[in-house]
Amino acid sequence: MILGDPTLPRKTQRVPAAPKIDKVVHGVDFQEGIVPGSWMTIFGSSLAGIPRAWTERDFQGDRLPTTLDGVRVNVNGKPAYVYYVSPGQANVLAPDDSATGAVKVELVNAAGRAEGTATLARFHPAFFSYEPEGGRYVIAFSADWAYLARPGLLPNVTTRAARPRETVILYGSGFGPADPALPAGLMVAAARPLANPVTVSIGGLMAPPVWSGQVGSGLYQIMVTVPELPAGDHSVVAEIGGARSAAARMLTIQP
Amino acid sequence: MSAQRFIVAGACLTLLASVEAANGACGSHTVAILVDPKLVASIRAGLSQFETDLCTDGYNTVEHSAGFADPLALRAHLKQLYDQPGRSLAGAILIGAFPHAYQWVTAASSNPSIPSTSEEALSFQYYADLNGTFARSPGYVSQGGRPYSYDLHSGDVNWEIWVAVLPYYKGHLAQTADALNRYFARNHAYRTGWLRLPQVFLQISEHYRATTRAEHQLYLDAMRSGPYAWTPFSNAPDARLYFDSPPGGLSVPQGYADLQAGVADFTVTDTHGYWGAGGQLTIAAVETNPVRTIFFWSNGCAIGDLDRPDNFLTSVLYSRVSEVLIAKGTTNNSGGMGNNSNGSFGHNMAAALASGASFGQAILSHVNVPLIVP
Repeated sequence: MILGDPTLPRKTQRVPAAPKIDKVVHGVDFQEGIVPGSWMTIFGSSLAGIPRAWTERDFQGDRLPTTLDGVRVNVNGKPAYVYYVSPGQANVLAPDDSATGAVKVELVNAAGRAEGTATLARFHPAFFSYEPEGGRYVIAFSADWAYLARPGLLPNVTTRAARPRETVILYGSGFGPADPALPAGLMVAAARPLANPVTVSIGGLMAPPVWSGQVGSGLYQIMVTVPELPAGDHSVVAEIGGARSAAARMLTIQP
Repeated sequence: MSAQRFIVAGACLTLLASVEAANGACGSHTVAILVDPKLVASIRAGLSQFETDLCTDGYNTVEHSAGFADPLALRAHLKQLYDQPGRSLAGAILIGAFPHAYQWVTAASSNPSIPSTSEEALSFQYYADLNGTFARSPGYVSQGGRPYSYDLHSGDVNWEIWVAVLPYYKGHLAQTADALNRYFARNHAYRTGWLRLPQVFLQISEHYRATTRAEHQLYLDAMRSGPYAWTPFSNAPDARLYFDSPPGGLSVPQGYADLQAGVADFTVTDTHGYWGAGGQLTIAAVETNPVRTIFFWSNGCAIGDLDRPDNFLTSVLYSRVSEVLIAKGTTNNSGGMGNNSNGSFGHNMAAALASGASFGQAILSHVNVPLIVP
């Protein structure tokens, strides 16, 4: 019997095509604007071979890898930290940089190099969201780590609506430096608060802050209190350093 | 592209009814892709990439993602595709779980001191020979009590198409979906030049053990160019041939080290086998040590017994540390594939592949010539 793909001949193998970058965007909302120390995504073709995310073996001590299966990325001439590579997508952590505005992004692999551009910003807050329904709902937890979302949103996972006056925990990227600053290229050993004040509104009402800070590489935790709101889906918006997150992310509330 | 968005929990589940999609402008031959409906939603992106890859390399595909009530229905579906004018069906790839037919088969040995053995074995020949007749003789009773088990195979017994399987992995739906998605990504990488191994032939025989220099040379010559050798692969200057030979400085572990090191794209192992192992290679070994070759051919008995959810050949294909894209083994205790008037299966496979044939075409070129006693 045969397992696999019998259409394969034992032929002279092809030379991989050179990489091509289509666009470079924020790693969470896939919009224009990347932030030092936060996640960014490169879309294109022939960016890498077999899809792979970094593993423990890719780290040298507490240093994040700058190469994954021969794929490396430079942002404004500085090496970025490569988390995931695949033929069509690469997710990387943008390196520390004080520059803003248009910068060159370069991806190099065994087949060649590609160039693209990105807009480097000090802030571009965005909340992670659950996969279903096009990422409509922010990922949120209660203080005792219950999943907060529209009931039934996730198969095989119990979710409930958030309640007014309870503390909710949100996650995002693009919130800028912590205080004291955490170098982008080192693993985050301990959480640190944000260096700049962040405000969060839910359903247009201010959500009183509880704590906001960086808890991982490019990963920020925002804890707020849910304001008094009627039942329904309400947009969650963060603002920091004059930049606002997209208003399309929702939290389901049930008093 | 959302595969690597940062998901905390959950995944979408889409229920699909019967779907038939055809991709018909790629070449002159068609591959039927039959997909277990329970798997379709979780492998959709990878499967579409796979079909695109086949199209790029000249194969039309026709996908069917509904279940089949029994082997009769599946065979009738393939026969209907095969008979369609202009379809030119080359083969079928069965993804997931499908009904199985069985055959009562007899394996005859060339060694007169080894009696022939008969057994009831899972048969994919039932789906490859679409014109032949499978029947039960009066009084035949399936040993396993199986309703679709046959002891007679007659008429035009040539295979019309090749049949391959991307089976369940460890009998687990989610693990199977993960394994298939890894497989499709690896296949794409190979076809686009990202997964590359040297075009070298590696053969490891656990059956030979040389105790003298003369025996060493005898066995080496047999593997390189004897009647059962994989010529022209095996007599290439860079072919790597291994067996235990203290006087010649060769050993089977050296061969398996080469397999892990990725020195060859085509590997043949001559070993004893059962569902859990092919000689010294066990399921645990191939799940933890790299299997770095593209074509893996084992002559160990029953290593591809798909009645066992945890069979060795499936682990060779799906292990996270495997680079194998096509694996051949047997579902029963016959080991190899016999001789025909053109020679041993090894030579016939290698000759066809060397001339540019696909693996499936090479199999048909051997099977569709009358077998002879070796």
